[in-house]
Amino acid sequence: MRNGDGSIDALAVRMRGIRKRFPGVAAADGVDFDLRRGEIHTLLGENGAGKSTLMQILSGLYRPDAGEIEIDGRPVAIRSPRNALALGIGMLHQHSMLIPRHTVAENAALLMPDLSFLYRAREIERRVAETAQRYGFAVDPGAPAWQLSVGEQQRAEIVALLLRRARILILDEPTAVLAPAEIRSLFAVMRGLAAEGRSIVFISHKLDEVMEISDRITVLRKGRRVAVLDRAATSERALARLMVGRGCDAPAPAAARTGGLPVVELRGIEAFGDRGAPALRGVDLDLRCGEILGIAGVSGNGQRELEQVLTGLRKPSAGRYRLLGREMSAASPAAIIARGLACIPGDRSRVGTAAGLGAVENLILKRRRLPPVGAGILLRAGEAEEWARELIERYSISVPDLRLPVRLLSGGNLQKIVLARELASGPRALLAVHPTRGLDIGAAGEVRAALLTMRDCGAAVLLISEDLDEILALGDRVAVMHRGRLSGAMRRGEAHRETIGLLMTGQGPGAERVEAEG
Amino acid sequence: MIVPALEKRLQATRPLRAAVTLGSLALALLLGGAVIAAVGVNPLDAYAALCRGAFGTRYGLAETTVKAIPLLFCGLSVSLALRMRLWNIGAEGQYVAGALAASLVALGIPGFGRPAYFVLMLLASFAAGALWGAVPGLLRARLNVSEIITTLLLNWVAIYLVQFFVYGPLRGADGFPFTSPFPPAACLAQLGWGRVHAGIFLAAAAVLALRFALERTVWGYEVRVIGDSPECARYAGMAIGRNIVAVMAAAGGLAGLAGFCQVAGVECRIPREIFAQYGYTAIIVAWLARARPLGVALVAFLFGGLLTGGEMIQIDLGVPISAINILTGSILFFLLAGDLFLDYRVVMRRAVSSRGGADG
Repeated sequence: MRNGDGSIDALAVRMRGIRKRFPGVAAADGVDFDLRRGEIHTLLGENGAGKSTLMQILSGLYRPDAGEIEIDGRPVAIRSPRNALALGIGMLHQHSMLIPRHTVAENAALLMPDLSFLYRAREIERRVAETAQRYGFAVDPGAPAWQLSVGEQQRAEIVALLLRRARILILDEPTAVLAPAEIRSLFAVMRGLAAEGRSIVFISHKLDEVMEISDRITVLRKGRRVAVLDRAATSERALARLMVGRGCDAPAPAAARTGGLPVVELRGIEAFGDRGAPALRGVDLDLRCGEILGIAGVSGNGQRELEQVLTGLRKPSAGRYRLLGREMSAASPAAIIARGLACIPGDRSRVGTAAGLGAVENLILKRRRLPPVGAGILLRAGEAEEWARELIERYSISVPDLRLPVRLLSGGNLQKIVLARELASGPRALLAVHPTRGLDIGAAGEVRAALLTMRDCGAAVLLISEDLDEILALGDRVAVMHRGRLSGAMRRGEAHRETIGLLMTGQGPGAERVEAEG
Repeated sequence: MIVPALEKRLQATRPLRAAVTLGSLALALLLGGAVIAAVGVNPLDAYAALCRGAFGTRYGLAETTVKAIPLLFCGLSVSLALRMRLWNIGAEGQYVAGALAASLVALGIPGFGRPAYFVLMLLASFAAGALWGAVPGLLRARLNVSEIITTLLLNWVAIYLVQFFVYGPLRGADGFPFTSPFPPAACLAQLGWGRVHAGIFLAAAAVLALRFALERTVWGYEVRVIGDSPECARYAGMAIGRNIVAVMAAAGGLAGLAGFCQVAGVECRIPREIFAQYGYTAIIVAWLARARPLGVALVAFLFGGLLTGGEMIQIDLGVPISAINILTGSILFFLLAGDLFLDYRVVMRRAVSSRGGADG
């Protein structure tokens, strides 16, 4: 009963004027979204465009500040994931939500509405196996979830959702963790489900996949819907352009001098991610003093691992890492800090700050063993407070009480604490990862200005960001990260928005080589 | 319909913290009172007698102080670990290990002078406690084994080790299951006030030293940062594993000193029943004191009073000591449950009627 005529009564989901603000940012800024029965509909957009927020609202994790939702033509208020499931909405999250020690069947039973009082393992395992078979994939219902591969876990979760009679399936970047063959079989399953009249929201950054599987595509940018397109009426190139937008840049003045001394040199750096899969695959990079090198890319393509290798938190499995001429690939984080690398981490509330401690304790984090704060084994409380007050004043950080846990500060003030602390040591090199993510315009501007000042003072700045506007405005040179590889750096001016957009999705010049080796 | 719901609270104010602590104590007193009433004694009479017995007489105060000393050392031990968000459930075993080590020095090496015995027994008991703490610390740092389980289990190793010694190699000449008395020079000086001994000065020194280490040194600062966010600590170049081992060893050492004070100050020998639950009660002491050394000193004194007063009402009113154990246990129970109100506020909310959610 595939229903492609688009008449109003065929809408499974109708969202109108959805707004959701998080402190400092509007994640969804009046978004409309329509999902027809029996269609595969892609939500496309950069990170932070509002895709996940919109779908988390639909699946009941967040409540919208404003807006209306209709399911099958009836207005609803979705109050919780349980509520969403009752409405037939099921979400497959990016990371497995299975309980590792439970079997596939036990995990599925968690979501089943019609369980008897006694747990009938045999019966549930049979139903799981039957459902899986009906859609043409195999899962072992008796296997504990931790033994399954990522692809198998995903299929187990889909079976669980189907047993729960989900008619609207939201798949949040399901292909990001899959091998090409697994992607093929996932797509086959998706087509089967759509042919039955179930509706699927597919979230992905990969344009080739989007073009292959979608019936329609909604493009979001900065919390707004910018286009709804039929697959037949668009192209990868057009989508890339829509996704990254064409805002007019006000580029920062170019570096006063280029071609300075190399500060950070990476040669053939390889590293594994948390799950043991290769995350960095032969990264070469030269960062010179007096420049900002911008690294664009959708997050999850190795940026976090690159940050960790540079700061010494992750040891590369191969390759050379030189910092100011000294080999650092086996060095401890403390040695790298001492050598002069400062870092604004991508995760400012867990890594960048000890969020339960106060402003003073966070501002002296890297000063604890150095004068005037540290003196031998002693920590001088008075000097520490003075040190902190000075930084708070210089960077006009708004801190109501020095003892207040910094997690209660706004994102902008939290980031300014990290920034102030990292710049206080006068570093030779600064690594800034998503430094303005989630900040309001004012705070973002201050952070960017500080990066430019650093550069003009002769420091080398490596800027990793998902915000292409930011990369193009600040970077003297720009490179793109995709699936663990770094493209060659382009000078600003040579770096066109469209080229970068294509490189970000693995489609640009040289992408064939990447795919062939990957 | 109006229903109560919980809403996340950003930060608990100081008065709220105090109110939750006092409320938890009040509920524990009510529950303890119910138990006392159940054995046929008026709870108010019992509590009054308890206070009189613990704090109302010179003898009672002295007994309270004597009991507060091991509680204080063990409370500091649990507090130090708590600063790094580690649970030291093994203060009991570390205390017993410290007592055993001090006794081995006192009984094994005859003929020393007072200062030599003091220094050697002090070091031996600290080292033994530190060993009992370092093993769980190492397992936690290297293999991420829960220190809650390992510290708890090692308690029994220490307790049975002492049993072995008092029934075996160290059994006293008169054949009872305790050791011979220590040489007089190995015993701590009595202060001429009940059974209060010189260990009280060591306890005061430990409070001040720990306070200084936690508040005024780089190490104490690193312990706080690691406790709050290991990711941030690692990023800032702190050695997390080494610090976990160091903290657990130091915590064990502090509890070991409690054992030293008990055998050298009170018993002057090691009895079979050296373990007296001080290590477990210390968990409540540390939690009530919010892991602050000066707070531990105060709370340890109050709990010393609870134990002393409990013994008094057992003798005078026939209230079994287990009623007091229920009281102390329920204090921690209510305190932990009370933390809910520090993180959440209770709001009355209108229940929304469900619309369109029927066809699951």
